[in-house]
Amino acid sequence: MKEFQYVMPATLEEAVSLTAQYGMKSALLAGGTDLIVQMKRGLKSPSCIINLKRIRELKYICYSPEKGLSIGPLIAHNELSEHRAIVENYPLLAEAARTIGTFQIRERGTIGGNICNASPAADTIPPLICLGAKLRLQGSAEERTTGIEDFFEGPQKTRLKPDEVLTQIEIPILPPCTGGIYLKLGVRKALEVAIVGVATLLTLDDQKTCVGARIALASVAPIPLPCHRAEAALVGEKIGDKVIDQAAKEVQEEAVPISDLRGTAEYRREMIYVLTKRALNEAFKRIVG
Amino acid sequence: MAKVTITIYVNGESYETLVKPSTTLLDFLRDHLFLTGTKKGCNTGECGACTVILDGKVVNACLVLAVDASGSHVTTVEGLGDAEHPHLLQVAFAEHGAIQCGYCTPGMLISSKALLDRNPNPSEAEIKMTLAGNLCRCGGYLKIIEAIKSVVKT
Repeated sequence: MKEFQYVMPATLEEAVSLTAQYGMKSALLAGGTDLIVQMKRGLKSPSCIINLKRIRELKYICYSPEKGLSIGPLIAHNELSEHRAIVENYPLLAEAARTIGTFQIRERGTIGGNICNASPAADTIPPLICLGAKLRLQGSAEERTTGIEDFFEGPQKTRLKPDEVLTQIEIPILPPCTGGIYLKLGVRKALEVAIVGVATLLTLDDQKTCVGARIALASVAPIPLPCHRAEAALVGEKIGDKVIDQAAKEVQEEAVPISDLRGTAEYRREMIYVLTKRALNEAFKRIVG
Repeated sequence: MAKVTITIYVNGESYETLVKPSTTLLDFLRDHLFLTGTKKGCNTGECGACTVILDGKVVNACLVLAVDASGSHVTTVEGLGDAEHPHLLQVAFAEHGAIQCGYCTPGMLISSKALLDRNPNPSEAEIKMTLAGNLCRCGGYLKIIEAIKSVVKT
């Protein structure tokens, strides 16, 4: 690794002033399970590393049935996936966190890191998109909030400004009769980057008609991909095999998978169809029981 | 770039020293403290040979900067037990033939010790899931799991 300056701000204010000072030459360090690997491989060589882990206000999980969920970016995947409020109210997010890496990686890797590293294959991002997550970003001049869908520009490229720090992930309360799931396709069950990942969230009325649908995929586009056309095709329909089949085909159309070392575009296209059908069926089952 | 002073507690002993910021906890343990029980395998968090306990959490030491571990408590395999006073797991591994080349063994011991601390009665499935981050290239998994299960029964 190239040598660097190391700073450990005690407050968010200090951190923001450091990111403003160093800008693109700095990197924010949370768990380090992506950043340290990238630095060892020469993919990133920041001249300054800003370790955020002393800043307590970035590490919390708050849930209320009125306001929903609020998570600090420094929450590690293991802690997130075991937290009762998340397991009970947002199980697809807990599921997704549990598929990441290995136990050792999940003890250190954080949700904020998963989001800001912005791999198109990131596992927590499709569920966060389905859950309508909003990100709070603190810069030197202002604080702003953005929907997570608008945060990504390309592979490992976000709209985080050079002087900004992600401070909060907010997830609203879900309507009743809502169920979702995250499915990850890999050759093995751990240490895997998704070949395809599918997150779905459905809301039904008491006639089992779909009144809300969210679908988002990993590893099928330059960024984590929301599938709004497929969602629109589901809303207002009674959920059944034909409707699910049509939605899965619509997702296939919206996705733009590439061929890489983990799979061909053709294989991914086929798996997008299979997994989307499976995920929609499972989400439906989770609501109706 | 300037070196940084760190204080780390390893297996109950405190060490104060100067390190370059780019030094990983793994390199610090092996090259500065000569605690070579913790192994360097892939050096990128994918094999678990460098598994240590850091402030109660099981982590890959190759992904932790030594400067980031300043003020922290680390347990390595040397802290589990030694020839005179081996840990139950070390005895079980030896007795069950769970050690072939021995390279994965320190990481396996740390991961399984931490598992049993968290959950004294894990199922085989739980053992396998928790050890997914510790690779054994000798293929010795069966004996490793048997060794762990034998400790669970006691």
